[in-house]
Amino acid sequence: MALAARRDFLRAGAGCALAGLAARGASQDPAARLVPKRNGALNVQPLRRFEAAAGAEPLIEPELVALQMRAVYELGFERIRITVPFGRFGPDFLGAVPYVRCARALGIDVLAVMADFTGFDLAQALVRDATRAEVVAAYLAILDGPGEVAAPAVKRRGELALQVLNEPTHFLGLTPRDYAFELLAPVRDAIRVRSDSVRVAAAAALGNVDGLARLRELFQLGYDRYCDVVAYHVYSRRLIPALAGLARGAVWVTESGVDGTARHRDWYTRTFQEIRETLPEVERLYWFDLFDRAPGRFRLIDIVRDGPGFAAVPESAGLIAHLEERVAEAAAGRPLLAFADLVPDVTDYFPTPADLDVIAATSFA
Amino acid sequence: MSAAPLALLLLAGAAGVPEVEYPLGPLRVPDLTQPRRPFVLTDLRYALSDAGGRAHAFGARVRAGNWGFLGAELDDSSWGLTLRTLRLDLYGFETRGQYDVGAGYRFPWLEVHADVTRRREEAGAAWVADLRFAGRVSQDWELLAGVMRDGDRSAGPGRRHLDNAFLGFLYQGGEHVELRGELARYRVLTDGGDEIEGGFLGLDAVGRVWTGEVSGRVAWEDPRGRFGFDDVQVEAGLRLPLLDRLLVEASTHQRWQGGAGRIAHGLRGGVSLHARRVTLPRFGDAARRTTALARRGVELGYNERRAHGEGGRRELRERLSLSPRRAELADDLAALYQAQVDERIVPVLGVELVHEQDLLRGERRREYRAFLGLPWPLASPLRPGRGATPFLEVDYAHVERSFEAGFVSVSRELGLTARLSRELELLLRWGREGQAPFDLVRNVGRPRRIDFAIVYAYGR
Repeated sequence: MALAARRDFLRAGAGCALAGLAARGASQDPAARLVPKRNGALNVQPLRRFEAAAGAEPLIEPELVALQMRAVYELGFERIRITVPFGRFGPDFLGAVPYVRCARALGIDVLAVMADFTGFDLAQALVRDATRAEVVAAYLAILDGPGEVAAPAVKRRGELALQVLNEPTHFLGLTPRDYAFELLAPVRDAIRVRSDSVRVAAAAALGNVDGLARLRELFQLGYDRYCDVVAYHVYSRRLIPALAGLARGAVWVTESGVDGTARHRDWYTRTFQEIRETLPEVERLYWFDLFDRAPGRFRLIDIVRDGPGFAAVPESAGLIAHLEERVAEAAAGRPLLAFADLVPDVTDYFPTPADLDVIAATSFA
Repeated sequence: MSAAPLALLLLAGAAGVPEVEYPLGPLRVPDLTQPRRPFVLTDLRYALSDAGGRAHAFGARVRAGNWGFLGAELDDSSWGLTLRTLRLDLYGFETRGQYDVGAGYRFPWLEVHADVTRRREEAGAAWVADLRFAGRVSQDWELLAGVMRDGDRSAGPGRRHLDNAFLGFLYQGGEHVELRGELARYRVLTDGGDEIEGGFLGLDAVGRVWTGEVSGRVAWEDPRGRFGFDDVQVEAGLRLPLLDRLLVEASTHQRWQGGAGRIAHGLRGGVSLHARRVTLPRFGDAARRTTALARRGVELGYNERRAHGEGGRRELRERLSLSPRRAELADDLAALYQAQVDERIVPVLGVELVHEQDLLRGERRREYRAFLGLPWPLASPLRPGRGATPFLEVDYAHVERSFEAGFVSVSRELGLTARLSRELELLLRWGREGQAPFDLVRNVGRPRRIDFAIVYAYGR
């Protein structure tokens, strides 16, 4: 679909859940309720600016945050996983903060990945005692500080969990042993000293059979003793039976999806079901992903410039329709609260001077 | 000079074998069967290693009459003593509070080895015992068996065997072929504290094919339970002399894991030019004499295996020279030594390429190695020389490790070896290790390493 045509499609709202499932003004109706969280978990990119430009203002474009969080809410997801890049507590770290806070205010659980998209800064900081304590304390102070729900209809604030790095052998070249003993174990201890409620998830290995040997090695090293939950990534059906019986405790599949938009719905329905049946220890399945820069592959939506703001363009039409049907079915025709009524101003969740004070107190200021 | 070596040298002269001239002059055939002094120094090693901190290592061994060889080793973290007689092997080492002692005895048709380790107090002071038997069924066949048990059943760093029991065989069909098979049941303890029971099947083969040597190994592990995925490793190698002075070598190793497919593989290939005709270990007079001498040792009740390597042949000669019947073996011992000298390898130029990939570590490794040797007497490395011996050799290695993360680590190594005689050599190596990703994480620099060693080995 050409870009212009897709914009028209959006504006027309022709069956697009993202544009119209939660009726505008429904919050005026006292019977209105939250969009039912029926569709599990989803990976969200911590977009802070649409076009990357060093030092460009504003550091965080509120419309991008609102657009993605609105999609998460309206598509009925109950959990998100989002990377909160360390970046020496620079703009990328701050840019992820509104997503975490907004999601939690909406009652959506957040798995925040402590990772950098490039470089060794975070791993270096986590491997040393002094900086590890600083980094962990700052992550917890900023992401798990006091906060309120977005509206009375939200019964509880979303829970926060932290995942220690992402695919560490693939992205950082760390051996399973280095990761388990030099990073995961001490970081888990540092988190536990400061918080009993934040669950600690280990990083997953690569999500195809290439990662299987690493995962087995991690289990043999006993890495599941150094976390509350272990994580798998599943991008290959061949991997599913091979994972059976490995874990003794809870497992979160923190990434799963299939390359090719046309195959999304089948993967989400049949393969997710296959995973649940084959691996009963799996508690959560995070679809990969809501948005990324590669068209036609994994993402559910595209994001395009729309005048001064942005618009979400449904790309995975089949899966979005399926998600929408499930939400509609659960809503049973009752009016639903609109995202805009719950989050009239997303900047309410932006970093505050108090957050900057936390960062200023670290050696990374 | 005793009669036997003299006879041998006369024999060598009659056969037209030129006397070998080393940089330190000619060497006599070692007189092991009739030592002139009560104690003869047979080995002396000193090594200095500087990789940020300096480490020294000493080793010495003497022959005590016709009774045995006494050795002592000492470095910065361990010390130990060794004893070798015709039938008995003893050793004891202490390494930072850990004690390792072992004994082996060769009965005429049975060889028994026992090794015991007592871990240091901080590691639980547990005992590890390993007992192995080799029953000789015939000149060519041995049946093997063994049991091993670790008294410490608690989890700790490092994967280790708790129990192991195996049965196997060894077939040494002359110098042409050697086969070894092993079937084992084991129990290992993982770092995570899981006990894994399983079975192991291993087959090794090495032999002569046409003018070359081929070798192969298959190892199959079949663990049970939570980590019940098969692990199969295959290795194959070929060494082939061409046009007398060229040696082509190639090998590969592959590793598969159930469900995960191939998780590691490697290819290695090299070609080298030599100053003299290349004789592989299982070809030539030294191989025939090794087989014959080992057979004679079995006939005499000394239960000797055939060892087709420089070190193994030296041990064979040393042990048999302690025999009460050494006088009748003296000619054969000296002849084996002379055959080893005659068939010495004198490499002058070579290159080697290695490609390895390890999925577990997300690492691809490429090695480029080259060496240049200058034989003695000094001559162009490219000119053939029947009397040539190895003298100077410079080797260089460039190792590139590429990681999935896009990180590339480069290591370099340069070595100089000076062989002043067959018995005395000096080694100097310089290396700079590339940073692996975790070195970068820990902010460990690129360590420079310098090694120096002087090695004396009488009768090598």
